Amino acid sequence: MEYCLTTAALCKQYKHDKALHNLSMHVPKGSIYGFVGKNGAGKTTLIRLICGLQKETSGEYALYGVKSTDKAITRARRRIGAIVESPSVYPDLTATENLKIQYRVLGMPSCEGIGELLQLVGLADTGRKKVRNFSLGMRQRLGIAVALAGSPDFLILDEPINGLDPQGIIEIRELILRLNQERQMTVLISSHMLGELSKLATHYGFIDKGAIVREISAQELEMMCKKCIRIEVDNAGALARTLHEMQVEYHMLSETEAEIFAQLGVTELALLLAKEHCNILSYKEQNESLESYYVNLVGGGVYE
Amino acid sequence: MNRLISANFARLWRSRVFYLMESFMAGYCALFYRDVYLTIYVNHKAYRNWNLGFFGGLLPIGIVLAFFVSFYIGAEYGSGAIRNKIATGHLRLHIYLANLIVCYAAAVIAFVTYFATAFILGSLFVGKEAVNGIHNPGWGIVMAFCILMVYTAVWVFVAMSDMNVARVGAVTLLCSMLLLAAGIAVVQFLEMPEYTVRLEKVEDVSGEEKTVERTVYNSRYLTGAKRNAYEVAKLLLPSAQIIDVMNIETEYDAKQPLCLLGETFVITGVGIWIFRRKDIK
Repeated sequence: MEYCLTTAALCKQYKHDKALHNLSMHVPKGSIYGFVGKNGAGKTTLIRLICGLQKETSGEYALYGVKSTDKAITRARRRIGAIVESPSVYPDLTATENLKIQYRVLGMPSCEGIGELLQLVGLADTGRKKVRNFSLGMRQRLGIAVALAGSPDFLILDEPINGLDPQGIIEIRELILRLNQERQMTVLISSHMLGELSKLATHYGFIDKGAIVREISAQELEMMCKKCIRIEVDNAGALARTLHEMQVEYHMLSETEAEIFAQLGVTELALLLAKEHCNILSYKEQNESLESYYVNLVGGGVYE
Repeated sequence: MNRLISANFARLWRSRVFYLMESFMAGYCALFYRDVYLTIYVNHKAYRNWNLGFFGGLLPIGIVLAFFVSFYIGAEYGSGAIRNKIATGHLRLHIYLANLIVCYAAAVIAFVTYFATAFILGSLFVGKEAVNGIHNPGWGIVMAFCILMVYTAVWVFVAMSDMNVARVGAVTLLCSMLLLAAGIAVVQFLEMPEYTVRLEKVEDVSGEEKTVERTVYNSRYLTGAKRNAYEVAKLLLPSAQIIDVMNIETEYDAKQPLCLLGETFVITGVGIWIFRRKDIK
């Protein structure tokens, strides 16, 4: 798998406070990477390091294969569009003027494409309205438009839906999905709004106390979170045969345990297993969401 | 860096604070020439120091620039523009220098606005005398540009070192006033005469009381190392140099602009060193 961002044992210390501690993560190219963690876990600190706003205490990261210790890292950052904490927009200018300035910062030869960008984020009809009079959602969308100027390959969004109303959240979500699908843009979104993130992300990185607790793909997570039946038997072979014949999705966890991702009648399954001389030792229905997965992961204290 | 300068200028032309500074400088000049007009045509008195008219705009420029720079660079920090510039791959050195260049350009434009207003109003109200009466205009202009450079370097240094806009505003305004007061005080101390004339009442032989003039040594007159220290302070303080530029009797020395230029380089060098190591939030 190709990665656009990797970090290795990254550490950041502010005086006596360790914000990042041996953080290692991998953001695959073309993914929407949900960066999940509670407030103060180190999400924004990592984004600040990647964007060059702060310097790591130790460890390193690589952007498109260019290491942070390499001088070319500044050039590699030109492939990034980022919103760190709040959108980088001048409140006393209009949306178009803000984008014109961003085009100059990026050294774009002409202002062509500004209209298209405003259209993309749904701000095409703001006219001469100053940004200070924009709603929070409009500012956020303009921030994304500014980050998108210059067509970056990698978009970093720090808490992009904080403070947005439900309509604003839907708009931002659709925009991110469109950018990822139509432009194959890699997106890193830090958030603690798990419900929203689960509608977008293709990969997840869970951070706690400055370290990545687990990285997982959305597919793997879906498997783990699916409504399932966890069953323990004394004859795993018989169970596998029975489930296979029943044509249901299942996953063997151990020699005696399996997860079944289907709605099954307990009596029906028990009768079929009895025919195979297989005893059921335990039977439990599980229903885990991303939130409960996260809570189990971070709240549990022990990580695998 | 050209891209950053271009973007900064684009913002400068849209900045209200910049036009406020321009208006203030023109208004300040107009008020000054109103006084000149009243002196000459209403009170029928002579007016001699035309340097005061043409370079008087330098007197408030430290305070005006402090206000402008703290707002202009404060907006860069406040709006996240500096974050954005770093994240898009610009070097911190270039970001610092681009801000310095644009703030200096704004300072020069503000001074030119004052100068142009002085030229127009002087020519209208007084005539050629107002323009021809300027003592050593070439040196005055060179010094003015150097003074603007030091002021800009100092305020940009303060503004780029601190992300708190309110704190930067308060510090720069307070420092600009202190600098002005210090400059005036230094010049006053250096210009104190060594001897002063004191009037004393004495009794003559007949017992009659008379007032006589007596030349006495001025105990506050600066000598030795203390005088040298004040002279160095005068060279380094842009506010003290302003007093010189406004004085028609000043004899200029190449040391003066060179000192101001050196000061600008040192302040900017330290500012860049700090900014490159700064954790930006």
